[in-house]
Amino acid sequence: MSAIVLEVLRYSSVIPLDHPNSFLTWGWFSLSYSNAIVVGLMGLTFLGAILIPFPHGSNNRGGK
Amino acid sequence: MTAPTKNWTGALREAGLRSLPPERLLPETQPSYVASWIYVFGALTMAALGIITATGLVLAVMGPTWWHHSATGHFVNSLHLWSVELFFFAMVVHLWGKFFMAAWRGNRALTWMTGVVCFMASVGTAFTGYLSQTNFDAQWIATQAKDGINSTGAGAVFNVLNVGQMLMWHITLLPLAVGAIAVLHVLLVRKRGVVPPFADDMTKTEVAK
Repeated sequence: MSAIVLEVLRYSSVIPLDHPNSFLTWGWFSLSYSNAIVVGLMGLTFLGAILIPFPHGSNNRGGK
Repeated sequence: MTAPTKNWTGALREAGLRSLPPERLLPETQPSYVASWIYVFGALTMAALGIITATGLVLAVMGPTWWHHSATGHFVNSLHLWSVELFFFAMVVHLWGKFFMAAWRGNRALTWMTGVVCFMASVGTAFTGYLSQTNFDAQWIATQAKDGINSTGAGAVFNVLNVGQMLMWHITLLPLAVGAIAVLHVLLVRKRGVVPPFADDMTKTEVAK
């Protein structure tokens, strides 16, 4: 049972998890692809938080 | 009629009420500019901290090796880990947002600095958490970290190879520090109000007041 679950997890992963991590490297600077993806997602979230309109479903805001 | 003599508890209560009256401590409304997603991430960070604390308490009761041999332990440990990931994710977006708002404006320097210190204490807490996993990953991180920490001299009192010491830092000292600073940070936000946008600040129409 657990072997089946592991196989499903293996093939459902976005990236293969059963080998050493890969790194982006510029000279002394080194960043794993997984960390680069997280930083990219944070950047996208930040842009989305600024650009996506906030829903105005309540009259509890802007009262002051 | 003479004024009643105040003792220190009365003075403390009055100072607290002067500094943070109930309507400011628990407001029902916020300024209109707070209706933006960028203002959500501070609250999201605190919500993640709540989940971290709750799951951490369960892990503290059951012990650091529980998650190795129990499916429930593994689940709780995973909740603990992923709420930490969410905590840092939300805190970094919150930090970027506040940095570009120059959120230290309007006598809010202490609010900004408590956020900075809370972030650094959180990094230390997460680090000692990785050292407390009781697995090969923890051993690898400890052996990689020891030389860097020893080069600063801190290794004399902060030994990353000492699992017991790292566990105690992780479950007592650092969570207390993070929790206390986070509470102080939120109280300062309540006291000073949420920082207004630049335009509002320049035209002196701080609706937070």
